[in-house]
Amino acid sequence: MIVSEPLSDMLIWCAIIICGIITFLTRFLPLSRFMPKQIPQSVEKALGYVPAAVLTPIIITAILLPDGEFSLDGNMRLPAAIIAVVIAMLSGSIMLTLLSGLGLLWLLSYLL
Amino acid sequence: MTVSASDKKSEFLAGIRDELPLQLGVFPFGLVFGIAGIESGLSALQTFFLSTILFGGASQIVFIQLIASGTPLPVLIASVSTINLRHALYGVSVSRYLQHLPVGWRIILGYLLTDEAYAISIRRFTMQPASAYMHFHLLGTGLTLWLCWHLSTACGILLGATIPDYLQLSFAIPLTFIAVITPLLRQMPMLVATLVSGATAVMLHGMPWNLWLIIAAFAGIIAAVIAERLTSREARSL
Repeated sequence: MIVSEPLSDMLIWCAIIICGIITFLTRFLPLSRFMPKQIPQSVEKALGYVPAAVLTPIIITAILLPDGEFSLDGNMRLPAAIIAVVIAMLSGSIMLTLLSGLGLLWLLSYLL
Repeated sequence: MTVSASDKKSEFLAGIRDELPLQLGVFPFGLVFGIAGIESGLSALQTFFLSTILFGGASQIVFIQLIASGTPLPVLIASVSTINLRHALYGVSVSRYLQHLPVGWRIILGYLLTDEAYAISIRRFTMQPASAYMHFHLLGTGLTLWLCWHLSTACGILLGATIPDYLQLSFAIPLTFIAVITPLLRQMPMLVATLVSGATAVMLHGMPWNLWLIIAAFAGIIAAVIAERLTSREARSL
């Protein structure tokens, strides 16, 4: 098994290029003339849920498992993230969310 | 925003002008990506060219995280590709405005079609009078983002080691994503997608081969589709 063994330099370049080609095709194919002009509404709706469904797992694991281990004890990222969600909801601003979240994390880490 | 941009140059400049404010959020993200790329064990060249070849923030972050934790190639590729699936939706949405262009133009604009460029240019396409040179607006937003993304990636690669750990800059990544998805949560199926994918990720995080991300993503999408069907059926029966 190749798990936990780092990929070789060559394989990493291969991975970058393959991911790049697939991502480019994802963006270009709908603009090409090979694709039907209308895609089924159900597919369009399902694609609309992709951001929420892929970004949430990344957010949750970055907050709850910052070092790959589940940690709630003394985890300052959790309260900072919760406040950031409230700020994001109220302001809708990426910059304000970033600044308040990072600021709070620094403040909590400094105080506690 | 210009009301009646009638030629190529003014469309292009309007695109740049409309895109610039977003760079306040893009620059720190690229910076953090550059730093994280080096920390994950990628070379400076690999980190930089990820920004060129993949050109998608969230997918690049996941790429380096999965690489660092020794994920098999097929799982890595499937996970990264799933994250970028949403871009197909942008293509579908703008294709009616770009169909008539020569294929070279469509290749360039397809390559540049990221979240931030789409979000700004679709407003120009839909909310302002059509013009023959509208595509220059998307070229403007796309190139602005492309330049800023490469500049910030390079800064992150160069500064990486000098930025102290206690700043915990990596926290900027989940914060950016929080800012992106929170406004979506007012729609019920989106909320379901968030809750189900988040819970699945936490439960499955120990899975071998880092399969948790792709499973959590599909669980979230399927749950949202079901939730949406159930609510629309309810609405019809009322």
